[in-house]
Amino acid sequence: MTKDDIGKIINPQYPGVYAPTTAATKLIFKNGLEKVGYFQFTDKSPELEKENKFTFVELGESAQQYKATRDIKYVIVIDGNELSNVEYPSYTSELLGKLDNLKKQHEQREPTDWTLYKERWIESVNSLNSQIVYKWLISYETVIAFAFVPVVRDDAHIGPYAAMSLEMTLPDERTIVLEPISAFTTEYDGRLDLYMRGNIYKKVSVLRKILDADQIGWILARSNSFNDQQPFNKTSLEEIIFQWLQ
Amino acid sequence: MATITILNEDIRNTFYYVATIEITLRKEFAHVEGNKKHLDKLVPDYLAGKYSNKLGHALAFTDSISKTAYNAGIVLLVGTFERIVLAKYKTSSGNAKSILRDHKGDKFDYYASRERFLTNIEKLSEIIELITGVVDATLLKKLSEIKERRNEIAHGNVNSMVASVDYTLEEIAKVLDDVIRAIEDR
Repeated sequence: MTKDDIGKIINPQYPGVYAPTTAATKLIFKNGLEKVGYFQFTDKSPELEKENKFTFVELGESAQQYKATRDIKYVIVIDGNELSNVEYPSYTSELLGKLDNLKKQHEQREPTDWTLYKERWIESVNSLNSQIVYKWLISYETVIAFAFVPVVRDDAHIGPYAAMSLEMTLPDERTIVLEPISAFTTEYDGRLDLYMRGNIYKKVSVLRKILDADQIGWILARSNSFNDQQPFNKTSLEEIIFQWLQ
Repeated sequence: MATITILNEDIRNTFYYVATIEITLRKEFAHVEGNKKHLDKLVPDYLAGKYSNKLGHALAFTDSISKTAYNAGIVLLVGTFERIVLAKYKTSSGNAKSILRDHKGDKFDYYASRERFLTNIEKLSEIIELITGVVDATLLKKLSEIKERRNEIAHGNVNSMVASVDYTLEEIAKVLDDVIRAIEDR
């Protein structure tokens, strides 16, 4: 299949392999194999496109890791010549079943120590708050007043606990809040909300992804769409604050 | 102008009401950001001056009202959905009773058990269980997340799983409408 063949299926109004999508894309290969995920434009994409090859992220662990890190190792290359069909949007119960099975297998292999999980969650939130105040936004310390405010949460498995909410007050008294919401979500390992106080419609989710025993990744999610999710870092935080001040 | 297509009339009307409340609040609260005393025009007389002395307090109060309105919107939309879907299953249950009366024979036990199952559906989780495999997995996942959120509002956060990103009221109305359509198409 060529890029036009694929692009027309994904979005006829915006024909391109890397068109914005709101659901998963299923690739069906000539050898019967199937992959579900989304085409992701990378620096390599223009060069690969000349060979009718495209960059793609598979749903599940790879997609979550990619969103948190933007590391190219989670991106695979798809040869258009090997494709027999593309389905978009892909509503596949098999995928969900497979992911559920993976989750069950994972849980059976490593029973979760919820006390440790809670400690790591609180530590992650504190560490993120510190990183924002003392690294990412250190150059704004004369114009932004930072305050840590304790909040109490009560989550399934881990029970009640106290965590720190970060309040960033701007010179005009408007406040941007980073508030812990839950140590779990349906897909990730915790969620905070970043919002403008008094205007909670200016709100994004900050999602925690446990990458490995020592590493945590953070994702800034504006919506449930793949295209609205990116790593949460100094640049994306500055960008969102800038947008909200417009 | 953006358009939204919601085919079911009850879901559509409920969405229009809750969306209008949300927009009204948003417009009024935008004034509070510039003038904290504007809040006194919106609250009951006995709350005048209680939250409007400091901008921070006023904005925190408007946040709580916005969140409450959003939560109320979810409860109303899901409640409307439950009413529609339960009514549909009760109709199916009536059909099954007619079949029972007209076709007594080997299949009696099967229909009897199905009958009991259908008449006992009272909860959203049971609706979800019933339509698993009937509607597509992505839609079902969204419905389950909305159900979790409704449960969190109604019963607290003890066993519910938070969605990674909150759905807008428009997205919720659309999901519920899509599920109804999927059931009707079967």
